[in-house]
Amino acid sequence: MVLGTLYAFLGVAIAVLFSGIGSAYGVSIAGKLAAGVVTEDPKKFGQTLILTALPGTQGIYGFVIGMLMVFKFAAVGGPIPLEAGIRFLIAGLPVGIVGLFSAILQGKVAAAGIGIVAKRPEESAKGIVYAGLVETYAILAFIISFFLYNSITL
Amino acid sequence: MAIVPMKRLELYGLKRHKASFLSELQRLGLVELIKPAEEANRVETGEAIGSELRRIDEKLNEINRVLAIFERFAPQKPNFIEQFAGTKTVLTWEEHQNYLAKREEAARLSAEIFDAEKEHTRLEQEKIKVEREIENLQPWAGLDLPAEAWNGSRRIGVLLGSFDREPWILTEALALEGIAYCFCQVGADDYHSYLIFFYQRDSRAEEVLRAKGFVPVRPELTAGTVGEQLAVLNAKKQELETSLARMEERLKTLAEERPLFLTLNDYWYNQRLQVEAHRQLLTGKAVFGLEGWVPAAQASRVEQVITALGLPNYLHFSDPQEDEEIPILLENKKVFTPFEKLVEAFSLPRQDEVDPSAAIAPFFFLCYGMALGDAGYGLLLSMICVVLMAKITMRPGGRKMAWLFFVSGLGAVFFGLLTSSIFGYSLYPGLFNVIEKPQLLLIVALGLGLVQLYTGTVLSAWMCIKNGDWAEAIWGKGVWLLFLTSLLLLAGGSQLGLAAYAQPIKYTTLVTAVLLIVGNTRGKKGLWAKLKAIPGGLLTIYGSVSFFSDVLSYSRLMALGLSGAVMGSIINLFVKMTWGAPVGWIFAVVIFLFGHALNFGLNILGAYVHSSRLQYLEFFNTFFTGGGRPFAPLKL
Repeated sequence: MVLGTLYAFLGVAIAVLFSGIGSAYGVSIAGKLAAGVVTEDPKKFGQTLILTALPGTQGIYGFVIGMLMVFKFAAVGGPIPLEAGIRFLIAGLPVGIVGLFSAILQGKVAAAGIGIVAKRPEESAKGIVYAGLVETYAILAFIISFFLYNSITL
Repeated sequence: MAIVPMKRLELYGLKRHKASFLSELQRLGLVELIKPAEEANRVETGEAIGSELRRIDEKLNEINRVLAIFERFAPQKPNFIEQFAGTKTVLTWEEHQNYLAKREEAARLSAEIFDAEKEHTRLEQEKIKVEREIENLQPWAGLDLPAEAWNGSRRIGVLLGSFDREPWILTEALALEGIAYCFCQVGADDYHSYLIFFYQRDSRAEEVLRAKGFVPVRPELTAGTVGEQLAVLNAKKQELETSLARMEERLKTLAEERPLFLTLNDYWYNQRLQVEAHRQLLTGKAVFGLEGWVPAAQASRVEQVITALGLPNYLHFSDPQEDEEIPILLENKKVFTPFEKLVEAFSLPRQDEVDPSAAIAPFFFLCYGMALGDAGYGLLLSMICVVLMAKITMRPGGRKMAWLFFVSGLGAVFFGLLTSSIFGYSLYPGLFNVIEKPQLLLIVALGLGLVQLYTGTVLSAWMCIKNGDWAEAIWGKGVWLLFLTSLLLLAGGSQLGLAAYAQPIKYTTLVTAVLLIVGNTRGKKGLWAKLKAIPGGLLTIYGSVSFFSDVLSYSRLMALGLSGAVMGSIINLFVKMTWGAPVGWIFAVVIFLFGHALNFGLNILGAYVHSSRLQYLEFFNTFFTGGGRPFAPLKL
């Protein structure tokens, strides 16, 4: 049915949209602060770059799930049954929504970590670990999204 | 291996030889000085030390000012790598000595540099002044009436000024009043037009113009025309600019002396450390004494060097006392040294703990390998590290970090070859394909976690034994492991073909659980105290939940490996799609390079963050707390 295809596409959109928005927002939080630190000390570009890039991974996870779904549609061709469509929709939810919030919050922690780079550059590895802790939940959501996706057979 | 045993050093000598002993120890860099407990024992006043420190600080300040000027006029441009590693200048011993010999010259040079900088500032200010004058005169540039004529003649008045609206408003007003005039617009800027009016002295022209908002202004000029003055000013400006450029050139040339000042900076900094070390000496009227820590293996070397000085002294080494806090220095086999960096970044072990570097080495290797999971990326990372180590001089810390990534990259090569993944391409059938069998990858990740956490628990049991606490090792850790194992078999035994043993496994679980509770009551006196300890024992059993959630945390390795692999295959798919089109190969190459560079960057970062997190939070949780004080010898 056409409706099934619609839901399946919506699943892709949710996975990519929300995690992408979250990552963009999170990276922008950290990036703004990083730019400020680099104004004061241009030599810190490298270290701040790592922290700024960290909240970007959620967008990648969402994109990976979305891409995998698209591959599955392409492999089948033709309309997707209603139930499978709704399953795709649900599979997109964890990575999309957890990605949205965790990326924003990770951006805030990364911004605080950039404070470490500015004031005590020798301890900046610890700031990276703190920001990494937030990512755990995006990873868990990604794993669940992936296995939900993996269980769908067309 | 592991934590280096330390010896306590006591050294007494004549007071007048104090400086030679200290500089020798500093050169050696093997002794950490201990601050004397009793301040009163120090006869030498802090005053002398303080004034010496001030003298050195003045020198350091001067050098830093010079270096700041160098940085302003000839900034060092660190490349991308140096932004992480820092810029360093490497000198040979002879160069170092040459620079130190030039100390006298440095004073002259720094005076010259300060003069040059002062002159530069003066010129710059003058240039700003001239520029402002030019700016003020610029709107009047069209006025070719010399300044001598601005007062007009006996009958004709001249009025110069600015107006912020259209000039015709003024001329109309004059015409309405019937006043004869003549006017000319000589220039304009964004807001004003600059006008000159000629009028008969007996008319009310000035009054009318003022009433309309005309503001009489004269350019700051006493003789000649504006154009002439502008030409003079511009010439002056050009002159200033050339001398500024010359001054900058000179400062840039002077900045070539940077290594000299850097060397002196180091020299005075070391002097400062030495003088500060005086605070840690016990001094009597004629004799001084110092105490310090020295790695036990190096004690003989220290003794040799001190004896070689040929000065009267008394040197004594002793083992540390029971409750003393010993500074921690890690030493491992060469394979494991890079992993010390990970431990240092967390916290050094306390003196009663083991050094976890060797324990985390194989696991970090595997974790990183799984998380990066691609032989191409791994090889690239290792090669980058090799090139870095060959090309730039790094401090020991940076070198360790580079080695760590080199070894970790090999981990990814290992895992990538196992699963047949090279830049996302599967060229031969490996053990299994990550994208096709993600469940298997998850099981491998969790299995690795289980092995590592078991290892951690065994290590903590071993530590108990080392500290003489056999009971805790057996009751606390041994039974705990049995309990966890039987729980695991209870849950997953049927998949392993152990369904027939379901009954005995169930009983083992129960028995070990009871043993855990019983074990928790040991050491408690009296029945009531033993009963009170039972809830605590139940809590221990509940601890298995957190143990297994730690194991589940290793699923991140599967997620990182999988997302990296999928990204890689997506990039390769795009490459394949564009390859067929006409001139598509250009795009294909760009997509391949750019895509894999991005994926590589994100994955090495993610793999590092999450692999080290697994060591810090999950693995260390089982046996390691840390909190040791790093060994900080007096050194150059």
